[in-house]
Amino acid sequence: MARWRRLLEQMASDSDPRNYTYDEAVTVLRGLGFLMAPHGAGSHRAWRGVSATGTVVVIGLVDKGHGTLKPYLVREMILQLRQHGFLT
Amino acid sequence: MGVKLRYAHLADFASVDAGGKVTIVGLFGQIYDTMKVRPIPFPLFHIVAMFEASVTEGTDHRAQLQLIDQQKRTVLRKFDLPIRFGPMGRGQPLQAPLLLQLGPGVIAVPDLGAYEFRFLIDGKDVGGLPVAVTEPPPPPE
Repeated sequence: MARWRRLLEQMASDSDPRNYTYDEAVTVLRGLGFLMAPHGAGSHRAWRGVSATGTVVVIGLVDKGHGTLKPYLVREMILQLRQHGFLT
Repeated sequence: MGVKLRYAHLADFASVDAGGKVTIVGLFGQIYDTMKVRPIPFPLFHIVAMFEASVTEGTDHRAQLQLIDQQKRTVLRKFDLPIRFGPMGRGQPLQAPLLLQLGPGVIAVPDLGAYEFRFLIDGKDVGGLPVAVTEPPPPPE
């Protein structure tokens, strides 16, 4: 199984997802075909993907260069992926 | 005729099926400043819009989304996306849905006030969708 898929399954089944880095979330999103939208100088990043039904899903993450993501960001990312059929 | 916006909504959820039927759940027009931080982040939400074009416009275009404030200043300009119009039957205009799901914090505004999403097709403004950012209502007694 690809690393991104293992990470996705781990995140999706984690009730308290507080140990995931920005790079790990990006690994998952890249695996699903998401691309980073152009961004300014800040740490906020928007990752854009298209679901099977054509909905453009934009996921917000924060890239501080170190540490882990806030759990709500991982939870919302999984919620968005689930709502639009990226999690099968 | 050019391209025109037929409708646009903010919603909790929206999807479109293979036949082009759009499902929209939980329409709203206000964002509440519940977190009391500046800039005010928007929660997870969907923008759903339907565009119409005459057949002479062709099928492939680009859509952009812009958020402006009451003074018509651009708060943000985002999401330059390809959009494909499809036929809806003989004598009918072409149609294209645009469904965007925006995660928490993807959009933030500097303060409370009236804002408007403007839709641009190939750089031309074709319509808007107002959104008010307000204090949450007081809890019921």
